[in-house]
Amino acid sequence: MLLGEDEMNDNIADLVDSRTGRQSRSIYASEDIYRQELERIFGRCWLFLVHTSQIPKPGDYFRTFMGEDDVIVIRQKDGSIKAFLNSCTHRGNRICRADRGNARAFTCNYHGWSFSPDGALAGVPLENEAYFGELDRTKFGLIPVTKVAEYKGLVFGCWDANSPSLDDYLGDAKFFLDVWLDAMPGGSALLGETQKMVLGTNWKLPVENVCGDGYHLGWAHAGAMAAVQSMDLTGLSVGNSGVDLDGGLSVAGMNGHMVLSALDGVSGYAFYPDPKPILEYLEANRQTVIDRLGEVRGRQVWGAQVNITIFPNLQLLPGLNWFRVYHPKGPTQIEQWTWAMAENDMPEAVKAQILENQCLTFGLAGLFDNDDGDNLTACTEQSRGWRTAQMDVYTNMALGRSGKREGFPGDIASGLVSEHNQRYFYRRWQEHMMAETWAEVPTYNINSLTDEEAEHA
Amino acid sequence: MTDTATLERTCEGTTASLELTHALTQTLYREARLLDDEHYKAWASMLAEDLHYHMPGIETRYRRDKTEQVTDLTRMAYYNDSKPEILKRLSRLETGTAWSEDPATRYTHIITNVEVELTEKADEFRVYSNFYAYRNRNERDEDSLIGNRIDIWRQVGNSFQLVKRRAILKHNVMLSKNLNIYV
Ligand code: FES
Ligand SMILES: [Fe+2]
Repeated sequence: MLLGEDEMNDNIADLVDSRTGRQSRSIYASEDIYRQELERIFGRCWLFLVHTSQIPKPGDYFRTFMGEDDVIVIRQKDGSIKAFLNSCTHRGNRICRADRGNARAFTCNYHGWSFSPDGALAGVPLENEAYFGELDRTKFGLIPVTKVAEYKGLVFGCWDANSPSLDDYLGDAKFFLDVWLDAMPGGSALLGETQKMVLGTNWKLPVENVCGDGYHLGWAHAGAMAAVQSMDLTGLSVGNSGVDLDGGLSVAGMNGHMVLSALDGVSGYAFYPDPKPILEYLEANRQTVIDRLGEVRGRQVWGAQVNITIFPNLQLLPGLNWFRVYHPKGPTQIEQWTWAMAENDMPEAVKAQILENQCLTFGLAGLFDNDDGDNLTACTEQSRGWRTAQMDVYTNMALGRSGKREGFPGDIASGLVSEHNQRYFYRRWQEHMMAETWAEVPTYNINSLTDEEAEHA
Repeated sequence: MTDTATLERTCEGTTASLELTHALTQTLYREARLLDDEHYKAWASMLAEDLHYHMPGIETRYRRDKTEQVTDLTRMAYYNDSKPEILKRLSRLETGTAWSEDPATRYTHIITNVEVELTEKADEFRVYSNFYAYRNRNERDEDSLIGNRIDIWRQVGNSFQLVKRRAILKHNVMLSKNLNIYV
């Protein structure tokens, strides 16, 4: 299959085949495909903006990206949250330069236009003398993100007025999100500052890596696992010497969101050199969580190694407790932003341990991230050749071996080592890329639990 | 860790003697050479058992925002390690399965601006320095980490052991794909 760049845009249908698990390598390097992703994926999907714990007080703001658009998210006087393009409506300057803070107003460095936290243009220097009082300030407020909505502390924004509600967008992924967000009565928080790192990879590769690739853990991270592992992680072995398919689940078919989950209720802390204080916390609160979420999630999932992917670019790992967003910066580069996750009911000592463990495992200097960064950048670089761009790659492990699993939503393959989730990720990517509008994007929550089933799960 | 000297200078520090300054400067150079050569066992022997090795992350904030970013240990850090944690990191290399470290990274540490001060403890010295740590790997992977350090070194017999280090990088977005380095 040889396609020119222009043809590729018309041929998204040929770039991915989720029945055979095939992807064209051009999707990791083509500038045209990337431009279309900014429009049809990042310009259309609900994107994670901020956790409410990061902007607790009125006037608190947090800067982030939606695709390549710089956005400020601001807590309003009435407690609600609004988001705006971080771009002055006069000549386009960046109005806010800090990562986060608290502000009564945002004043532009260039000519001094001043915007209030609700986005209104509140002040214009020489408004009467130079504009002769003829500037209609109501037409020059900051450009708001079309929709902003919250799910239990996670705030998302969306540019597309015709998107489904956030609730519908998340669909059955909420079953798993609640294992962090709603397990304990105190709710959740993100800890610490943002760890930001530039990585020379296409944005889809780290998503694919964490959404379903249990296969790489035992091999790519063999050294890191040997260094920090304190408990067995069911379903994985160092060195990929064996595999236990009863140890976990690969869950997909939930509107493009995916979950990998161990089922032992503790293995999330397998990569903590000293997991004792956290295991005590789990033990002490297990019954509370079972009462709130039911047996399946309370006993098996809460505390286990769980990878949750919210399409397109948000990944969170309750247990290992890192939370990460990938901001695309062109077809072959991303900024990877990481925070530590906690439950507010955790003792301070446990929260401190989580922050510290992030340094050791999945922070910038983390032993696991050292391995992944190297592989993802090389996969991207090796897709840029004239010949390699014509090649295909496959996620065809365990094709056609999925189905329903009692107590869980989704189309489920057994085990953490499978490429089932990756196929659903690329299927979702293709569905978005082929659709002109949201109306053409299918909605599916395969094997959805009825409310009653969910109650007794 | 209250029974060791503090990293923050409490008053105008007293400059150490020429001899002591020379000895500690040579210690820093030796440490840099061991790191360049990946002689991690020898490097680890320069670390005190009660070591605290800290590299804070830095957010971009407005000047009026007085949030303490550097010394607050409850905030995000790249390293916030005890000696056992450093040894754990080093043990990954020894497993022979840290694929991303093979081929090896090539390092050069340049240490400058050394100042040595006496502290409230007779056997501990506060040492300021700047570092330039250059890394090159494979064909074109390269990056530079530049920053300031404040250390406490403890005299043990004729040599010195590192008790505390705070290494302050200047990056907001880290412009490299990992931090597999000690500075
Ligand atoms: S560009 Fe902002 S005031 Fe002119
Ligand atoms: Fe990984």
